Amino acid sequence: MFSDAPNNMSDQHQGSIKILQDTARQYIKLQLLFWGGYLLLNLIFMGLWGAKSFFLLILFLLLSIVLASMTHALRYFYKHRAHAWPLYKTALYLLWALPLLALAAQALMVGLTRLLVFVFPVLIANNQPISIGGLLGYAMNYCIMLTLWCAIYLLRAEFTKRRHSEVAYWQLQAQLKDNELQFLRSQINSHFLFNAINNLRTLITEDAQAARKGMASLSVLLRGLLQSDSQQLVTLRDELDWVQGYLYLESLQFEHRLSTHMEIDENLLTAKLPPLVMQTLVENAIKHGIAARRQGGELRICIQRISTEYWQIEVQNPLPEFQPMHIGNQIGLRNTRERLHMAFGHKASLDLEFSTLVTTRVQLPL
Amino acid sequence: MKLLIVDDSRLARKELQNLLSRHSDLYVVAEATDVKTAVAAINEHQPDIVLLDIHLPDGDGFDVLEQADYTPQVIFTTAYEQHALRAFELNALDYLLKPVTQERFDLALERRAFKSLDPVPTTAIAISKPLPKTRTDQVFVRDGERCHFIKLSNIYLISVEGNYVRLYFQQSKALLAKSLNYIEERLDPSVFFRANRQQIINMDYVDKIEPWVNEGLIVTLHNGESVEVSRRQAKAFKHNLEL
Repeated sequence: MFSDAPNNMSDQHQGSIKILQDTARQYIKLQLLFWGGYLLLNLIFMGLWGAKSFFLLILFLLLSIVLASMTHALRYFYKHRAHAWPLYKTALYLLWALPLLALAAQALMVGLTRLLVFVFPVLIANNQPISIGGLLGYAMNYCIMLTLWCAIYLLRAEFTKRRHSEVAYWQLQAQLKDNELQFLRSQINSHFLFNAINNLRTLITEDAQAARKGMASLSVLLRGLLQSDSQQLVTLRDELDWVQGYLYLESLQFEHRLSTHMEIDENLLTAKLPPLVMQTLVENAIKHGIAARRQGGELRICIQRISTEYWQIEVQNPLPEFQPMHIGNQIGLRNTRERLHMAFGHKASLDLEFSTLVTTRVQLPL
Repeated sequence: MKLLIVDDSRLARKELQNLLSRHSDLYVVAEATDVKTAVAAINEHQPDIVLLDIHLPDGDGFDVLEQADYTPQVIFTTAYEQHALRAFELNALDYLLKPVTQERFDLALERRAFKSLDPVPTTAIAISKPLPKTRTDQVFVRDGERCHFIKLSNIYLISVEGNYVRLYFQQSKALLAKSLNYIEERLDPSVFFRANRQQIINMDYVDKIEPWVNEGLIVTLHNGESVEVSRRQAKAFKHNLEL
């Protein structure tokens, strides 16, 4: 009835910042390891070939930087444009983008080499012209490296994305369910609550004793609503206290339009059920049966044992004459059904039967 | 001033009576518990003000206003703020949340009473004259999600649309689930003129009159819209103007 949902927005926000920082750190690690490793490999191969030169060292370093910059640009593109694309679309783009990038890298390297030679003529001795085939071979090499990099990055990114969207999905579902519940509770009960208070206000001058009884009923009911933990079961005795308090307050609203007939097996008073389940049934019966009839009607409640292992609550109300004002019946019942399921699994059930009367039947294990 | 209380809870009605006890200028002509009895009470007693509960066993307060032949000043009462109430334009109505404090109640009544005693603007004088079937100066229309209280003096054109009629007023329009004949019967014929089978025009909004084929007339309204007056009605129209 009263919302006390924790405000965990800031928690979530901080959480997402932390995840972002983590991924940024991982990314930098990937870049350093990958292109650092590539540089190292190149140097090792250079050493194996016996071509030890400072000039080549500089060139390989530049190469790693160029390729790292290119992958950084690719990442930028992925984050800002392609992250929502399906994987195959990204792959199709890469299919033509990577060879082009490799060629561009090669062109850049040739340019840089020329520049280096121009600036440091000392190095001329080591500068041997490379054939077109050789250039393409290098480009192929770069292309393979870029592809490898993209494969690693995309695998990681897609995996994280999938995990995040799954988590976000379930969080959203839970949030929605919670909101729906809160909303329903506040809507349904506040209407009843303020009518009850309004009626009690007049009753104080008309019949002080009845008003005192009404106040006591109201507090019993409020205590039930506010203090009951939806996770824990209550005894039928407690539940009946709330239902009777509720019915007394509704009798002030409906007066002669509401009559109640109760049959309760006293041996079941210690049986357990999720809190406010029966109250919900009774509230529904009044709202959709009694309230939508000019002359009102009779509410019948029957609680009995039906076998050695099961007992049942049966609430009956006359059919409405008019379209009831409130919607949400189905949601209320669905919610009750879920709560029963959570408490007892398949051992509990809730059924609705329409004939000349509407019968709501809840079966529970003992 | 005459007042009607509509609420299905006896205690709630009594509470309103308590709140009314200090208003000696108002007297409660009737109490009603549902849409049916409320509509009957409004038609019979023609109250100046209705205290109207939104939730009723056989419908809602809006149904009452739609079905009644006459639209009084309305103060809605409800136990909780409801979406439907926000469909109204600002100031179009007042509503009270139960339980109502005496101060809030007095304020609402003051506003309503003041409204009904408002000096009537010139265009509305003709309308405030006793009308054939009603002496109301406003109608209630629920058009889908939107609700309007429309001053008759603001309506310039009423035209048939299927089985219903569409009211054109100020910058808007609304569909009313009544027949054109029904509407015509209830309006002052010297103000609201049946131009043809399809349309009724408000004479106060007539800008220009020109002869038309077949001894008919073409009437141009203030907004430039032209309406044809059939030959049968042209004579009555001229007669109307001579008055």
